[in-house]
Amino acid sequence: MSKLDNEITLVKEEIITMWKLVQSQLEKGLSALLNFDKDLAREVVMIEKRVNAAELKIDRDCEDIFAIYSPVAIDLRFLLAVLKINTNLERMGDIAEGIAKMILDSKQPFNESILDATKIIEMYGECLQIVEQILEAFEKEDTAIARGIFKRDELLDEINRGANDLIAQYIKAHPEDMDMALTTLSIIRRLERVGDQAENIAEEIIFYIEAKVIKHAPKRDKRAD
Amino acid sequence: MSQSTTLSKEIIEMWNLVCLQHEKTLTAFLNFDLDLAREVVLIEERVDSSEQLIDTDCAHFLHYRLQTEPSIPFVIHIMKINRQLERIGDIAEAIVTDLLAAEEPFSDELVEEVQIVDLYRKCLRMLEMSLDAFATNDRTIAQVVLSRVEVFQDQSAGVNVALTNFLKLHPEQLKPSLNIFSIVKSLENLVDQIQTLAVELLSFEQKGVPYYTKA
Repeated sequence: MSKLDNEITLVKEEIITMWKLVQSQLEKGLSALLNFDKDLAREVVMIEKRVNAAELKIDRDCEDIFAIYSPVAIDLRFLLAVLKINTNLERMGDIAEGIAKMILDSKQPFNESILDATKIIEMYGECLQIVEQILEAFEKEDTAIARGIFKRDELLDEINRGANDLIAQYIKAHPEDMDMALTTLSIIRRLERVGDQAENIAEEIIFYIEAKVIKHAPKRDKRAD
Repeated sequence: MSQSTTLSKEIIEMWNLVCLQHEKTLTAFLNFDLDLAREVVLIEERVDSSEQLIDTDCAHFLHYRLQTEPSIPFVIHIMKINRQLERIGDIAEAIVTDLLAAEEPFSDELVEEVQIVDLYRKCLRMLEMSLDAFATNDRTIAQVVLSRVEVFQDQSAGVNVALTNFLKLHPEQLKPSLNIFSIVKSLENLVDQIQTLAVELLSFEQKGVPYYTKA
């Protein structure tokens, strides 16, 4: 293994570690939501600094590799993809922190009827599975697994699109829970962005493995590609 | 013209395009101009194309580093800004999508209660200032942007309460209220992206090398 290969392996390990940290943040966010666990929400907020620090370290390591080794072809594509995946993961970390802060600001637990009515738990579960799936795609360098994300993201988009109507129906029936309903809608919006970040990561994985740019292509073309 | 200046010019063009997208979006909102809203959606493709072009140029500079400039940190810096601007462009599209879904213009009272026009104008100003900070290589402007982000966040934190109070008096305005709430969430996302831009401008240090020099 050349020195460059070693460095690239190290960067790959670093990004996977960051990925698992972000996964853990999102999982804790779900647990905090279900159990109205403010201590856990606080923990997510505090650990966000580690996600940011990991992002900076990976950026610097990529810069050093560019400077020292002048990588080409697939190695160059890999590092370019890592730089973008890095920022996408950091955004997911921000989203997890944002959800945790909303839980901290809530005065009362989210009741079961609103969680059921809005399908937010289903949506959150799907987000976690999407993040798991793209990590698998990255580790195995498998573009078929990466492409599987696009269809899953459609479910998130569907729940997000329907959220306004579901929340409106809920508020009509329970006007006393307006504040909780609006917070739930905010969380749904953030979860939809997790799907967007995951989609961006999937595009980068496909780019670096196949040297094919599918960013900004219509979804049906991404799935069929 | 130096390679750094070429990249800087490209990113400034993209920045201006994204600012214009948001100005049009605000105008579309103020006048309930659905044709203008549709135009924003169509022009989003140009923003996406610009992003890809700049990305390709950056990859080219990283691959063919025959000279010492542009430096690697600078190219990566441009790539990050590029990424942020594309996201900011996406947010304009998200806002007009909510506008297009509205069945009729929003009531003046609702718009006033949530202070959405003021919030959006603040966002536009921060976006323009971040461009100034980059174009003039002035860190103090980026610092001012960050302080304005805090002011925005304090103001937008009051939207839930404002909406709740408004809906108690006007329950028939539930659907448009939720629509406007979605737009406010998009503005919060917009400010998050602008904050990330400002932090990137402040974090990047290239001593003695201006971002942009006129040819």
